[in-house]
Amino acid sequence: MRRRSFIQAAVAAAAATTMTGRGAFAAESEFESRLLALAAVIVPGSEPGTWRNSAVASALLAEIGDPGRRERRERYRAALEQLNRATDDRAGESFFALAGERQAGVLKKLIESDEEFGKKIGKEFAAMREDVLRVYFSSGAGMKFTGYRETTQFVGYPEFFQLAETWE
Amino acid sequence: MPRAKYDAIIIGLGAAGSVVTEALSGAGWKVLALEEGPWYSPFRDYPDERAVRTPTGLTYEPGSLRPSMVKCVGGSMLFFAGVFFRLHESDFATRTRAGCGTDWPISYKELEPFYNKVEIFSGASGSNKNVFEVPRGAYPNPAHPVSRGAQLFARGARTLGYHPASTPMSIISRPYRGRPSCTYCARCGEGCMVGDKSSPEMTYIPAAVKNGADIRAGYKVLTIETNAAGRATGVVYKDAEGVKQRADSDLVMLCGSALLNPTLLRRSRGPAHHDGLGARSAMVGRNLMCHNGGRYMARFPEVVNGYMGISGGINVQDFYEGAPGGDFHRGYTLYVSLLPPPAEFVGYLERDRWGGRLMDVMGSYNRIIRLAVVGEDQARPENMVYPDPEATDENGFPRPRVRFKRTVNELNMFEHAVASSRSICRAGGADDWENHYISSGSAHPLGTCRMGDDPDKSVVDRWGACHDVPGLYICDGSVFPTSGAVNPSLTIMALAARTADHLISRRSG
Ligand SMILES: Cc1cc2nc3c(=O)[nH]c(=O)nc-3n(C[C@H](O)[C@H](O)[C@H](O)COP(=O)(O)OP(=O)(O)OC[C@H]3O[C@@H](n4cnc5c(N)ncnc54)[C@H](O)[C@@H]3O)c2cc1C
Ligand code: SF4
Repeated sequence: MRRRSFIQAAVAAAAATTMTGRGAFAAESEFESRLLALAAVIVPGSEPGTWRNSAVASALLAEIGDPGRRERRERYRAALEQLNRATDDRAGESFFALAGERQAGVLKKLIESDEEFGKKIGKEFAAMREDVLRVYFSSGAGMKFTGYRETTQFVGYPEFFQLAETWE
Repeated sequence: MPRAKYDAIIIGLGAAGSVVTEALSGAGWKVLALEEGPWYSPFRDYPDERAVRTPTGLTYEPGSLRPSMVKCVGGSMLFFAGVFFRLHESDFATRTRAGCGTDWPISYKELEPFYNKVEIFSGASGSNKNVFEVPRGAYPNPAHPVSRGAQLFARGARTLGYHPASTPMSIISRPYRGRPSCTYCARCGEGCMVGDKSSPEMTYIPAAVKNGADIRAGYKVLTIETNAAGRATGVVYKDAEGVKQRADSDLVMLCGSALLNPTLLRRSRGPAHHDGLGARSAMVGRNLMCHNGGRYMARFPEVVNGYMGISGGINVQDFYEGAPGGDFHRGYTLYVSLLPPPAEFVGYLERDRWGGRLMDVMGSYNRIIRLAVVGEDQARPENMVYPDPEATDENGFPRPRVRFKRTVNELNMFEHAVASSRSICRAGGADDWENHYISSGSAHPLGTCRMGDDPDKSVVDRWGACHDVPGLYICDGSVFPTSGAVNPSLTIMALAARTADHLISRRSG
C-alpha cells in the first residue's frame, strides 16, 4: 500500500471510531463472527477486544463485504467451514468453540502437518491472512502497536531528524 | 506546408533524455522531445496520488526476474529514492583488473567532469570522505543528517574495521537554486511534492522548457526512420490524440531505457536495415543487467524509526571489489534504505506471519532497520529483452519480453552480503532477529545496447553513436557494458551530459 493511502486509511479508521463511539457495526452473520475470530488468531492485537466492536473490525468486515468481491467472500466462508470440520475431526470440537490460545495451537498443527488441510484451505487461509494483516496494520490500532508515526511535509521535520547530526 | 525539421529529436524523457534535452536546447538547438508517459504536476498530482505508474507493456518469461521502469516525464527517477553514487574507477576496466565483464571504452577520468556537472545542476548532497571513491571535491550541498539506525550500522562497521561513509543523494540538504531543502517525509517513492528531490521534472525539464525545447508528453515514438543510405532521418510517433505523425531530424537520440529500447530498434526497419537498427553485432537486447539486489533487516534494542526520512544514510563499500575467498566476481555496496510502512513490511515476514510470533516482530517494528544490497551482476547474452512472439501492444507491435535468470555467482554474492550485513549490524548492537530476501524484481535495468569500440561486439561507440546508423545516438542505462555496484542514475545522466557536450562541440567546432 502506498504510504499516503495507508495514512488515509488509518485516519479514516480513527475517524470511524470517533464518529461511531463504541463501533457502529455488529458481526451480523456466523461468517462474520468466524472471520473475526480467525482474525484474532492471526493478529491477537495488543488490547482485548481488538476484533470486537472496534474500528479495525469494521474495516475488515467492510473489506470482506465489498460487493465487488462476493466470490471471494464465498470462498472464505467455505474455507472457514472446512477449518471448523478439520478441527472437529482432530480435536473433537468446533474450531470456533475453542479458546483463543488453543485455536492458535490447532491451526498451527493443521497447517504444519495436515496435507489434506493444506491443500483444501491453505490458499484461502493465506488470502484471509493477507486481508487481516493489511487491514490491521493500516489501522490506527496497528499504527499504535508498531509505533509508526505519520511524517508529512506539512507537519515539519520529524523531531528525530531535527536532532540528528550530519555524519562524517 | 513542409514539416518542421528539428536539430534533434529526443525519444524518452527519463534520466538521460531530460539531461540531453536541457543541454541541446540550452545550446540554442531546436529540440523536439517526445515522451510516451504523462507529465505530472508535482504539487497537484503527487499529494492526490494521481502520479501513478502507467503500464509498461513488458512481458516476462516464466521464472524470469521482473525488472521494471516508470513511464512519464522524468522517467523512472520520478519515484526514485535519490541515492546518487558515482561508479568507481575500477568499474571502467573490470576485464583488465578482475578478469570478468568488459572494459568500458571510456575511463572514469573522461566521465568525471560530467559527474561534476550533473551533481552541481542537481544540487547533490554528500561528503567526500568515502575512502573507496576517487578523491574528489566537495559536494554542492552537505551530507544529510543520518538516522539513529544508520548511526548504529556505522558503529558496527567501524568496530569491524570497515569504512562506513555518508551516502551521496540527489536530494538537497539545504535550499539550493530556488528549491527548498528536504523535509524527511519519507515519500520519495511517490514523487516529491516539496521539490527538493532532484528528479528531472524538478531540475532539467523546467530548464529545458525555459530554453524553448518542444516537450510533448503522451507521445509515443513508433519507429525511427532511416533513408536508403541507412542514416536516421526522423521518427514516426503517435500523438496524444492517437494520430500518427512524423517529425524530421538528422539527429535522433534514443533515451527510452534498457527495457524499451531494444524492441523499438528492432521494429525500426529501413531500406538499409532489414533486421532493425543496430543489428550488426546481434547485441541489441542482449546483456541485460539488473544488479544483484536484495534487502537485509536487523533489529536493535532501541527505537531507530527505520521508516522515517530518506534512504541512503550510511553505506559500506568494503566489498565493492569483491571479498577475500568470496566465490563470486566483483562485489557490492550496502546502504541503509527506508523501512516500508507496517502494512507493507509485514509482507516480507515469512516465518513469523501470524499469531504471537508475528506480533513479537511487529511490536518491535520501530527498532528495525533495512539495508539495501546493490551488487554487480555479470552481463550474459542470454539475459535479454526481445520482441514477444505472441503478445502485441495497442499498435500491433510485439511487446518487449524479458528473460533474466540469476546465476550461482549472484546467489553466492548475496549470501556473502547477508553474512556481512549480519556481522555489521550485530557489532552495532542488533539482536539475533533478522530477515532478508533477494529481489524478484529490479529498478535498475541496464545493458541491452552496450557501448564499445568494436562494432562487432557492441551497439554504440564511446559517444553513444550507433555503430551502423549514422545520426542515431543511444543514450541511457542501456549503454552500460557492466553494471557496477551502485545505483545507476548519476552515471546515466553523466553519460548523457557527455554525449550532449560532444554533439554541441562537434557542431560548433
Ligand atoms: C522505484 C525506483 C527507485 C529507484 N531508486 C534509484 C536510486 O535511489 N538511485 C539511482 O541511481 N537510481 C534509482 N532508480 C533507477 C533510476 O531511476 C533509473 O536507472 C534511471 O531513471 C534510468 O534512466 P533511463 O534514462 O535509462 O530511463 P528512464 O528514466 O526509465 O526513462 C525512459 C523514458 O523513456 C520513455 N520512452 C521509452 N520508449 C519510448 C517511446 N517509444 N516513445 C516515447 N517515450 C518513450 C519512457 O516512457 C520513460 O519515461 C530507481 C528506479 C525506480 C523505479
Ligand atoms: S523525504 Fe525529502 S525528498 Fe523525499 S519526498 Fe519527502 S521532502 Fe521530498
